Amino acid sequence: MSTIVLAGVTLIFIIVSLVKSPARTKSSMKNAVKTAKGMVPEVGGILLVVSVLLAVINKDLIAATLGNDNVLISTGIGALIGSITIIPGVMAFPLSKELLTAGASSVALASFITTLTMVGLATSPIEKKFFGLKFTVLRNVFSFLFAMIIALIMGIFI
Amino acid sequence: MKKIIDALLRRKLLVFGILLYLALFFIDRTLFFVSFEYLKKFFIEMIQILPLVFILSALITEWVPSSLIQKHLGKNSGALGMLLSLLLGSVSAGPIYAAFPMTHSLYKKGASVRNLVVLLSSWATVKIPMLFVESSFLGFNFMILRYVLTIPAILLLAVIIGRWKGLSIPDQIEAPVPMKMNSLKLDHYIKLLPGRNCGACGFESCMALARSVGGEKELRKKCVFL
Repeated sequence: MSTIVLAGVTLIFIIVSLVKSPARTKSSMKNAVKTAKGMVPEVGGILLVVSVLLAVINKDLIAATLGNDNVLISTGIGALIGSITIIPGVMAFPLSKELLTAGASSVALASFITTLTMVGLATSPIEKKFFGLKFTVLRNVFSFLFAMIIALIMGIFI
Repeated sequence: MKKIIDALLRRKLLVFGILLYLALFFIDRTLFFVSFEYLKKFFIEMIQILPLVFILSALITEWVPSSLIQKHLGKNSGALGMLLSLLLGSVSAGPIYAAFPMTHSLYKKGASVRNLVVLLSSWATVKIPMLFVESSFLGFNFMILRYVLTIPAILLLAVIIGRWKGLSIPDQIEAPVPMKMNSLKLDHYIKLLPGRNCGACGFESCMALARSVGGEKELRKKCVFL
């Protein structure tokens, strides 16, 4: 759905740009290719490594650790796994549901989902390239802390 | 040979990933195919989003006037700027790495660091289409509570990082150095150059000149200070 919106917006931009100036459109396309060249090998490498990682730490293993009786331990581990890995968007929630039925606690699940999206150890090499080391470290460390707090507060209510 | 090794080292993550897959193929065939299933899903997601993001980011850099971005997302845009960033981030599609080129081009156009963090974080976590998915899989209460807590957390995070000093965010990302250049040579050229980034050679910076020349002779010819 939102991909279609993105495609539509991009298309409108291209058309307007072409009407206004074909030359500037061409030069900006060159810039797009330049960014792509800088980023794609890195993304490719990350996706290769993360896909293997996801296969190794399979559902049963995650479910077992997220179901630990000690809430602090399971939340911590949930946040840790979520921080290291990224997951294709379409899979995140079906996976969470499976984890829940496999015995994961909902607090641990909340920390897992929040860090999964907000903290990205796997994507940090790319983030560093665009925004520098300090920004990347700060954003990820604080996001991790906030994700833990969010999960623990959710634990009180759910 | 040295050049090839150099080129591989610059893409070490990619090389490592490929070697990992090769090793897996011979050691554990089952794990290989499970990994490959994940990889396929990643790839589909990437191929749908990334080309669009690259094009749109470049077009924003080319056309959208800095004054417009500064006014609505800049240092003085206040709470309204944060709200706009939150909205822009939430309606966007794609994984977080797709957000990097896009938000970086907005930053170059004058968006503040604070709004940059809101954009990135909401792009990653707050997804309007995903609200329904999350609610149907994990329950309405779970979803609503997580969002009610996450959105203030994002805003707080943005305020904290926005006030941090000395973040040194790069102006542009560097593509891998061309094959013919080795990093020792590049260092040598950069030491020779005055570092004024005067632009007299036709390149935007001394770094850009150093990256493009074939040898020291050419460098000395092109730079007006040498």
